[in-house]
Amino acid sequence: MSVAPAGDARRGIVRALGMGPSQVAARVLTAVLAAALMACLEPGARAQEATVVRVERVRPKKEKLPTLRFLKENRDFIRAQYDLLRQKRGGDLGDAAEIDPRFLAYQKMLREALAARDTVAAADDSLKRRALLASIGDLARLEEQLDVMDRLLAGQRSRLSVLQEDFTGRQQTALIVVLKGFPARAPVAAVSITLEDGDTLTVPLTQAHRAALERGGIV
Amino acid sequence: MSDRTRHGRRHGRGVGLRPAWALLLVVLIPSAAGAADRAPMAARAGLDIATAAAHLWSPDAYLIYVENDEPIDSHGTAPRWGYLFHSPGLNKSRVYSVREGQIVVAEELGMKFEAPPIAGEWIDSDAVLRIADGGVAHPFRLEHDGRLDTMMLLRGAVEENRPDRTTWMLVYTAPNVPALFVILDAADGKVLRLWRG
Repeated sequence: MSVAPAGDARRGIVRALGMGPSQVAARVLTAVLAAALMACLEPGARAQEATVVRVERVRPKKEKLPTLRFLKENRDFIRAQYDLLRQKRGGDLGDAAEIDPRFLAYQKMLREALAARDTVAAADDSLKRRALLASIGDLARLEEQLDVMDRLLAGQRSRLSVLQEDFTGRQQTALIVVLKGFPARAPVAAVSITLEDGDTLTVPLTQAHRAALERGGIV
Repeated sequence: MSDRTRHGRRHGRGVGLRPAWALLLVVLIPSAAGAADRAPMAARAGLDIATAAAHLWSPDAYLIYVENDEPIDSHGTAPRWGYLFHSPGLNKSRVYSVREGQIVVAEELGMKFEAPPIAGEWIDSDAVLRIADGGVAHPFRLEHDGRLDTMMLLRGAVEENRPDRTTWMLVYTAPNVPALFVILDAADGKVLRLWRG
Protein backbone atom coordinates (compact mmCIF):
# COMPACT_ATOMS: atom_id res chain seq x y z
CA MET A 1 0.00 0.00 0.00
CA SER A 2 1.43 3.34 -1.08
CA VAL A 3 1.07 6.63 0.76
CA ALA A 4 0.19 9.76 -1.28
CA PRO A 5 2.17 12.93 -0.54
CA ALA A 6 0.39 15.85 1.21
CA GLY A 7 0.26 18.01 -1.92
CA ASP A 8 -1.53 15.23 -3.79
CA ALA A 9 -4.09 14.94 -1.02
CA ARG A 10 -4.92 18.65 -1.13
CA ARG A 11 -5.32 18.49 -4.85
CA GLY A 12 -7.58 15.44 -4.43
CA ILE A 13 -9.86 17.34 -2.00
CA VAL A 14 -10.11 20.35 -4.32
CA ARG A 15 -11.06 18.08 -7.17
CA ALA A 16 -13.65 16.31 -5.04
CA LEU A 17 -15.35 19.60 -4.09
CA GLY A 18 -15.52 20.69 -7.70
CA MET A 19 -14.09 24.14 -6.88
CA GLY A 20 -10.98 26.01 -7.72
CA PRO A 21 -8.23 26.42 -5.05
CA SER A 22 -9.09 30.10 -4.53
CA GLN A 23 -12.75 29.26 -3.93
CA VAL A 24 -11.85 26.59 -1.40
CA ALA A 25 -9.53 29.00 0.39
CA ALA A 26 -12.29 31.67 0.57
CA ARG A 27 -14.81 29.21 1.99
CA VAL A 28 -12.34 27.92 4.57
CA LEU A 29 -11.61 31.51 5.64
CA THR A 30 -15.34 32.23 5.95
CA ALA A 31 -15.84 29.15 8.11
CA VAL A 32 -12.96 30.11 10.41
CA LEU A 33 -14.33 33.64 10.82
CA ALA A 34 -17.80 32.31 11.59
CA ALA A 35 -16.39 29.96 14.22
CA ALA A 36 -14.45 32.83 15.82
CA LEU A 37 -17.59 34.99 15.87
CA MET A 38 -19.58 32.21 17.56
CA ALA A 39 -16.83 31.79 20.12
CA CYS A 40 -17.06 35.51 20.94
CA LEU A 41 -20.84 35.42 21.24
CA GLU A 42 -20.95 32.23 23.34
CA PRO A 43 -20.26 33.78 26.80
CA GLY A 44 -23.16 36.17 26.41
CA ALA A 45 -25.43 33.38 25.34
CA ARG A 46 -24.29 31.30 28.34
CA ALA A 47 -24.99 34.21 30.66
CA GLN A 48 -28.53 34.43 29.40
CA GLU A 49 -29.06 30.72 29.95
CA ALA A 50 -27.53 30.68 33.51
CA THR A 51 -29.86 29.69 36.36
CA VAL A 52 -30.44 32.34 39.01
CA VAL A 53 -29.30 31.07 42.42
CA ARG A 54 -29.49 32.43 45.95
CA VAL A 55 -26.40 32.09 48.10
CA GLU A 56 -26.96 31.37 51.78
CA ARG A 57 -24.61 30.54 54.58
CA VAL A 58 -25.12 27.21 56.29
CA ARG A 59 -26.57 27.89 59.72
CA PRO A 60 -24.16 26.62 62.37
CA LYS A 61 -25.49 23.70 64.29
CA LYS A 62 -26.63 24.92 67.68
CA GLU A 63 -25.30 23.11 70.69
CA LYS A 64 -28.11 21.23 72.40
CA LEU A 65 -27.47 21.22 76.11
CA PRO A 66 -29.45 18.87 78.30
CA THR A 67 -30.98 20.40 81.41
CA LEU A 68 -32.80 19.07 84.49
CA ARG A 69 -32.07 15.48 83.51
CA PHE A 70 -33.00 13.93 86.85
CA LEU A 71 -36.28 15.79 86.96
CA LYS A 72 -37.20 14.74 83.44
CA GLU A 73 -36.20 11.13 84.01
CA ASN A 74 -38.18 10.93 87.25
CA ARG A 75 -40.95 13.37 86.49
CA ASP A 76 -43.77 10.90 87.03
CA PHE A 77 -42.58 10.13 90.56
CA ILE A 78 -41.95 13.75 91.50
CA ARG A 79 -45.21 14.98 90.05
CA ALA A 80 -47.06 12.26 91.95
CA GLN A 81 -45.44 13.51 95.16
CA TYR A 82 -46.62 17.03 94.44
CA ASP A 83 -50.10 15.76 93.67
CA LEU A 84 -50.19 14.21 97.14
CA LEU A 85 -49.22 17.51 98.66
CA ARG A 86 -52.08 19.35 97.08
CA GLN A 87 -54.57 16.81 98.40
CA LYS A 88 -53.65 17.48 102.03
CA ARG A 89 -55.63 20.04 103.96
CA GLY A 90 -53.78 23.02 105.28
CA GLY A 91 -55.87 23.29 108.50
CA ASP A 92 -55.76 26.68 110.13
CA LEU A 93 -52.39 27.56 108.70
CA GLY A 94 -52.52 30.23 106.11
CA ASP A 95 -55.82 31.72 107.22
CA ALA A 96 -55.70 35.48 106.97
CA ALA A 97 -57.93 38.16 108.41
CA GLU A 98 -59.28 40.91 106.26
CA ILE A 99 -56.95 43.88 106.03
CA ASP A 100 -58.19 47.02 107.72
CA PRO A 101 -59.16 49.40 104.88
CA ARG A 102 -57.53 52.25 106.78
CA PHE A 103 -54.13 50.63 106.29
CA LEU A 104 -54.75 50.41 102.56
CA ALA A 105 -55.81 54.07 102.55
CA TYR A 106 -52.53 55.09 104.22
CA GLN A 107 -50.62 53.96 101.15
CA LYS A 108 -52.72 56.22 98.98
CA MET A 109 -52.30 59.10 101.41
CA LEU A 110 -48.56 58.61 101.42
CA ARG A 111 -48.44 58.72 97.64
CA GLU A 112 -50.51 61.89 97.61
CA ALA A 113 -48.25 63.48 100.22
CA LEU A 114 -45.15 62.65 98.20
CA ALA A 115 -46.72 64.03 95.05
CA ALA A 116 -47.65 67.21 96.90
CA ARG A 117 -44.09 67.56 98.16
CA ASP A 118 -42.76 67.29 94.61
CA THR A 119 -45.23 69.88 93.42
CA VAL A 120 -44.28 72.32 96.18
CA ALA A 121 -40.59 71.77 95.47
CA ALA A 122 -41.13 72.56 91.80
CA ALA A 123 -43.11 75.69 92.64
CA ASP A 124 -40.45 76.82 95.10
CA ASP A 125 -37.78 76.39 92.47
CA SER A 126 -39.83 78.41 90.04
CA LEU A 127 -40.23 81.20 92.60
CA LYS A 128 -36.50 81.41 93.16
CA ARG A 129 -35.95 81.85 89.47
CA ARG A 130 -38.45 84.71 89.40
CA ALA A 131 -36.60 87.09 91.65
CA LEU A 132 -37.65 89.96 89.48
CA LEU A 133 -41.15 89.77 88.15
CA ALA A 134 -41.22 91.31 84.73
CA SER A 135 -44.89 91.72 84.06
CA ILE A 136 -48.41 91.48 85.38
CA GLY A 137 -48.68 88.10 83.61
CA ASP A 138 -45.95 86.73 85.82
CA LEU A 139 -47.77 88.01 88.87
CA ALA A 140 -50.88 86.18 87.72
CA ARG A 141 -48.93 82.96 87.32
CA LEU A 142 -47.43 83.46 90.76
CA GLU A 143 -50.92 83.80 92.20
CA GLU A 144 -51.93 80.56 90.52
CA GLN A 145 -48.97 78.78 92.05
CA LEU A 146 -49.83 80.11 95.47
CA ASP A 147 -53.35 78.80 95.00
CA VAL A 148 -51.95 75.39 94.14
CA MET A 149 -49.82 75.43 97.27
CA ASP A 150 -52.84 76.41 99.33
CA ARG A 151 -54.74 73.44 97.94
CA LEU A 152 -51.84 71.14 98.69
CA LEU A 153 -51.67 72.42 102.24
CA ALA A 154 -55.37 71.80 102.63
CA GLY A 155 -54.87 68.26 101.38
CA GLN A 156 -52.08 67.70 103.89
CA ARG A 157 -54.29 69.03 106.66
CA SER A 158 -57.09 66.65 105.76
CA ARG A 159 -54.67 63.70 105.66
CA LEU A 160 -53.27 64.68 109.04
CA SER A 161 -56.78 64.87 110.44
CA VAL A 162 -57.48 61.35 109.21
CA LEU A 163 -54.32 60.07 110.87
CA GLN A 164 -55.14 61.97 114.03
CA GLU A 165 -58.59 60.48 114.13
CA ASP A 166 -57.23 56.98 113.56
CA PHE A 167 -54.51 57.09 116.17
CA THR A 168 -54.70 59.90 118.68
CA GLY A 169 -58.39 59.37 119.28
CA ARG A 170 -58.01 55.64 119.84
CA GLN A 171 -55.18 55.48 122.30
CA GLN A 172 -55.62 52.67 124.74
CA THR A 173 -53.50 51.51 127.61
CA ALA A 174 -53.64 47.81 128.23
CA LEU A 175 -52.65 45.92 131.32
CA ILE A 176 -51.91 42.26 130.97
CA VAL A 177 -51.99 40.18 134.10
CA VAL A 178 -50.48 36.69 133.98
CA LEU A 179 -51.63 34.17 136.57
CA LYS A 180 -49.91 30.97 137.56
CA GLY A 181 -50.41 28.56 140.42
CA PHE A 182 -53.48 27.07 142.06
CA PRO A 183 -54.14 27.30 145.84
CA ALA A 184 -55.72 23.97 146.72
CA ARG A 185 -57.32 25.12 149.99
CA ALA A 186 -59.10 28.16 148.63
CA PRO A 187 -59.83 27.84 144.94
CA VAL A 188 -59.68 31.19 143.19
CA ALA A 189 -62.95 32.37 141.70
CA ALA A 190 -61.87 35.88 140.66
CA VAL A 191 -58.86 38.17 140.55
CA SER A 192 -59.03 41.75 141.85
CA ILE A 193 -56.56 44.38 140.72
CA THR A 194 -56.24 47.77 142.43
CA LEU A 195 -55.04 50.50 140.09
CA GLU A 196 -52.96 53.57 141.00
CA ASP A 197 -55.95 55.82 141.37
CA GLY A 198 -57.56 53.43 143.85
CA ASP A 199 -60.03 51.86 141.49
CA THR A 200 -60.43 48.12 141.82
CA LEU A 201 -60.98 45.90 138.84
CA THR A 202 -62.31 42.39 139.41
CA VAL A 203 -62.00 39.77 136.71
CA PRO A 204 -63.88 36.51 137.30
CA LEU A 205 -62.13 33.27 136.41
CA THR A 206 -64.07 30.73 134.44
CA GLN A 207 -64.03 27.01 135.04
CA ALA A 208 -61.66 26.60 132.09
CA HIS A 209 -59.25 29.11 133.65
CA ARG A 210 -59.32 27.32 136.98
CA ALA A 211 -58.77 23.95 135.32
CA ALA A 212 -55.79 25.35 133.44
CA LEU A 213 -54.26 26.79 136.63
CA GLU A 214 -54.83 23.48 138.43
CA ARG A 215 -52.88 21.66 135.72
CA GLY A 216 -49.97 24.09 136.05
CA GLY A 217 -50.92 26.26 133.13
CA ILE A 218 -50.72 30.02 132.74
CA VAL A 219 -53.75 32.24 132.35
CA MET B 1 8.50 6.45 36.79
CA SER B 2 5.15 5.40 38.19
CA ASP B 3 6.65 4.85 41.64
CA ARG B 4 8.17 8.26 41.61
CA THR B 5 4.87 9.72 40.51
CA ARG B 6 2.96 7.97 43.29
CA HIS B 7 5.56 8.96 45.80
CA GLY B 8 5.47 12.48 44.47
CA ARG B 9 1.70 12.63 44.73
CA ARG B 10 1.75 11.19 48.22
CA HIS B 11 4.36 13.65 49.22
CA GLY B 12 2.45 16.49 47.63
CA ARG B 13 -0.81 15.50 49.36
CA GLY B 14 0.98 15.29 52.67
CA VAL B 15 2.34 18.75 52.27
CA GLY B 16 -1.10 19.98 51.27
CA LEU B 17 -2.88 18.46 54.28
CA ARG B 18 -0.41 19.47 56.91
CA PRO B 19 -1.67 23.08 57.19
CA ALA B 20 -5.24 21.82 57.30
CA TRP B 21 -4.52 19.49 60.20
CA ALA B 22 -2.62 22.24 61.93
CA LEU B 23 -5.57 24.57 61.49
CA LEU B 24 -7.95 21.92 62.82
CA LEU B 25 -5.78 21.42 65.87
CA VAL B 26 -5.60 25.13 66.42
CA VAL B 27 -9.38 25.26 66.31
CA LEU B 28 -9.95 22.20 68.49
CA ILE B 29 -7.38 22.76 71.19
CA PRO B 30 -8.82 26.02 72.52
CA SER B 31 -12.35 24.62 72.56
CA ALA B 32 -11.25 21.49 74.42
CA ALA B 33 -9.27 23.57 76.85
CA GLY B 34 -12.26 25.87 77.25
CA ALA B 35 -14.49 22.96 78.20
CA ALA B 36 -12.01 21.90 80.87
CA ASP B 37 -11.54 25.43 82.12
CA ARG B 38 -15.21 26.28 82.52
CA ALA B 39 -15.42 27.81 85.94
CA PRO B 40 -17.54 25.68 88.23
CA MET B 41 -19.87 27.54 90.55
CA ALA B 42 -22.09 26.84 93.50
CA ALA B 43 -25.82 26.69 92.90
CA ARG B 44 -26.63 30.16 94.15
CA ALA B 45 -24.16 31.83 91.80
CA GLY B 46 -26.47 31.61 88.81
CA LEU B 47 -29.67 32.38 90.65
CA ASP B 48 -29.73 36.15 90.17
CA ILE B 49 -29.49 36.12 86.39
CA ALA B 50 -31.95 33.25 86.14
CA THR B 51 -34.42 35.07 88.39
CA ALA B 52 -34.06 38.27 86.40
CA ALA B 53 -34.76 36.40 83.17
CA ALA B 54 -37.69 34.58 84.73
CA HIS B 55 -39.27 37.84 85.87
CA LEU B 56 -38.93 39.21 82.37
CA TRP B 57 -40.69 36.10 81.13
CA SER B 58 -43.43 36.46 83.74
CA PRO B 59 -43.44 38.90 86.68
CA ASP B 60 -45.16 36.39 88.96
CA ALA B 61 -42.62 33.62 88.33
CA TYR B 62 -41.02 31.99 91.35
CA LEU B 63 -38.26 29.43 91.77
CA ILE B 64 -39.44 25.86 92.31
CA TYR B 65 -36.47 23.63 91.52
CA VAL B 66 -32.68 23.65 91.10
CA GLU B 67 -30.51 20.87 89.69
CA ASN B 68 -26.94 20.54 88.45
CA ASP B 69 -26.88 20.35 84.65
CA GLU B 70 -23.26 19.24 84.45
CA PRO B 71 -21.23 16.98 86.74
CA ILE B 72 -20.52 18.18 90.25
CA ASP B 73 -16.95 18.29 91.47
CA SER B 74 -15.69 17.41 94.92
CA HIS B 75 -16.36 20.95 96.15
CA GLY B 76 -20.08 20.90 95.42
CA THR B 77 -19.75 23.15 92.40
CA ALA B 78 -20.69 22.49 88.79
CA PRO B 79 -20.05 24.33 85.51
CA ARG B 80 -23.77 24.61 84.81
CA TRP B 81 -26.93 24.68 86.93
CA GLY B 82 -30.57 24.57 85.91
CA TYR B 83 -33.20 26.77 87.59
CA LEU B 84 -36.87 25.99 87.10
CA PHE B 85 -39.49 28.69 87.59
CA HIS B 86 -43.25 28.48 87.64
CA SER B 87 -45.69 31.18 86.65
CA PRO B 88 -49.22 30.77 88.05
CA GLY B 89 -50.44 33.47 85.68
CA LEU B 90 -49.18 31.69 82.58
CA ASN B 91 -49.67 28.25 84.13
CA LYS B 92 -46.29 27.27 82.72
CA SER B 93 -42.85 26.36 83.96
CA ARG B 94 -39.62 27.53 82.37
CA VAL B 95 -36.05 26.44 82.96
CA TYR B 96 -32.93 28.59 82.69
CA SER B 97 -29.57 26.85 82.53
CA VAL B 98 -26.71 29.11 83.58
CA ARG B 99 -23.02 28.64 82.84
CA GLU B 100 -20.31 31.15 83.69
CA GLY B 101 -22.86 33.81 84.48
CA GLN B 102 -24.71 33.42 81.20
CA ILE B 103 -27.97 31.74 80.32
CA VAL B 104 -27.15 29.02 77.81
CA VAL B 105 -30.53 27.30 77.74
CA ALA B 106 -33.97 28.81 78.24
CA GLU B 107 -36.93 26.61 77.47
CA GLU B 108 -40.35 25.79 78.76
CA LEU B 109 -40.68 22.53 80.58
CA GLY B 110 -43.37 21.12 78.35
CA MET B 111 -45.33 19.55 81.18
CA LYS B 112 -47.41 20.77 84.07
CA PHE B 113 -45.29 21.09 87.16
CA GLU B 114 -46.98 23.07 89.89
CA ALA B 115 -44.51 22.86 92.74
CA PRO B 116 -44.42 25.13 95.79
CA PRO B 117 -41.88 27.95 95.77
CA ILE B 118 -38.40 27.39 97.14
CA ALA B 119 -37.92 29.16 100.48
CA GLY B 120 -35.65 32.18 100.30
CA GLU B 121 -33.15 30.93 102.87
CA TRP B 122 -31.12 27.92 101.76
CA ILE B 123 -27.51 27.00 102.18
CA ASP B 124 -25.47 26.65 99.04
CA SER B 125 -24.44 23.45 97.29
CA ASP B 126 -20.81 23.56 98.40
CA ALA B 127 -21.78 23.70 102.07
CA VAL B 128 -24.33 20.92 101.61
CA LEU B 129 -21.78 18.66 99.97
CA ARG B 130 -19.30 19.19 102.78
CA ILE B 131 -21.93 18.08 105.26
CA ALA B 132 -23.01 15.01 103.31
CA ASP B 133 -19.59 13.89 102.10
CA GLY B 134 -18.08 14.23 105.51
CA GLY B 135 -20.93 12.44 107.25
CA VAL B 136 -23.65 10.09 106.08
CA ALA B 137 -22.36 9.60 102.56
CA HIS B 138 -18.78 8.92 103.54
CA PRO B 139 -19.14 5.12 104.07
CA PHE B 140 -20.96 4.71 100.75
CA ARG B 141 -18.27 6.59 98.89
CA LEU B 142 -15.52 4.66 100.62
CA GLU B 143 -16.93 1.13 100.37
CA HIS B 144 -18.46 1.30 96.92
CA ASP B 145 -16.32 3.94 95.26
CA GLY B 146 -19.48 6.01 95.07
CA ARG B 147 -19.68 9.48 93.66
CA LEU B 148 -22.20 12.29 93.78
CA ASP B 149 -24.30 12.26 90.65
CA THR B 150 -27.10 14.75 91.21
CA MET B 151 -27.97 17.56 93.61
CA MET B 152 -31.40 19.10 93.57
CA LEU B 153 -33.16 21.72 95.62
CA LEU B 154 -36.91 21.36 95.94
CA ARG B 155 -39.71 21.80 98.40
CA GLY B 156 -42.26 19.34 99.64
CA ALA B 157 -41.80 16.44 97.25
CA VAL B 158 -39.45 14.25 99.25
CA GLU B 159 -40.12 15.14 102.86
CA GLU B 160 -43.47 13.64 103.72
CA ASN B 161 -43.60 14.59 107.38
CA ARG B 162 -42.87 18.26 106.90
CA PRO B 163 -43.57 19.08 103.28
CA ASP B 164 -43.24 22.77 103.95
CA ARG B 165 -39.50 22.35 104.21
CA THR B 166 -37.17 23.20 101.39
CA THR B 167 -34.72 20.34 101.04
CA TRP B 168 -31.57 19.39 99.22
CA MET B 169 -31.61 15.90 97.78
CA LEU B 170 -28.27 14.33 96.91
CA VAL B 171 -28.02 11.18 94.79
CA TYR B 172 -24.84 9.15 95.09
CA THR B 173 -24.25 6.34 92.61
CA ALA B 174 -21.79 3.47 92.46
CA PRO B 175 -21.34 0.51 90.11
CA ASN B 176 -23.51 -2.56 90.77
CA VAL B 177 -25.13 -1.26 93.96
CA PRO B 178 -28.31 0.73 94.59
CA ALA B 179 -27.92 4.50 94.74
CA LEU B 180 -27.81 6.41 97.99
CA PHE B 181 -30.32 9.23 98.47
CA VAL B 182 -29.62 11.83 101.14
CA ILE B 183 -32.17 14.45 102.17
CA LEU B 184 -30.98 17.54 104.03
CA ASP B 185 -32.83 20.53 105.39
CA ALA B 186 -31.90 23.35 103.05
CA ALA B 187 -32.12 25.92 105.84
CA ASP B 188 -29.50 24.45 108.17
CA GLY B 189 -28.03 21.40 106.44
CA LYS B 190 -29.42 18.95 108.94
CA VAL B 191 -29.64 15.42 107.54
CA LEU B 192 -33.30 14.44 107.57
CA ARG B 193 -33.16 10.96 106.14
CA LEU B 194 -31.41 8.70 103.69
CA TRP B 195 -32.30 5.57 101.79
CA ARG B 196 -30.97 3.21 99.16
CA GLY B 197 -32.80 2.63 95.94
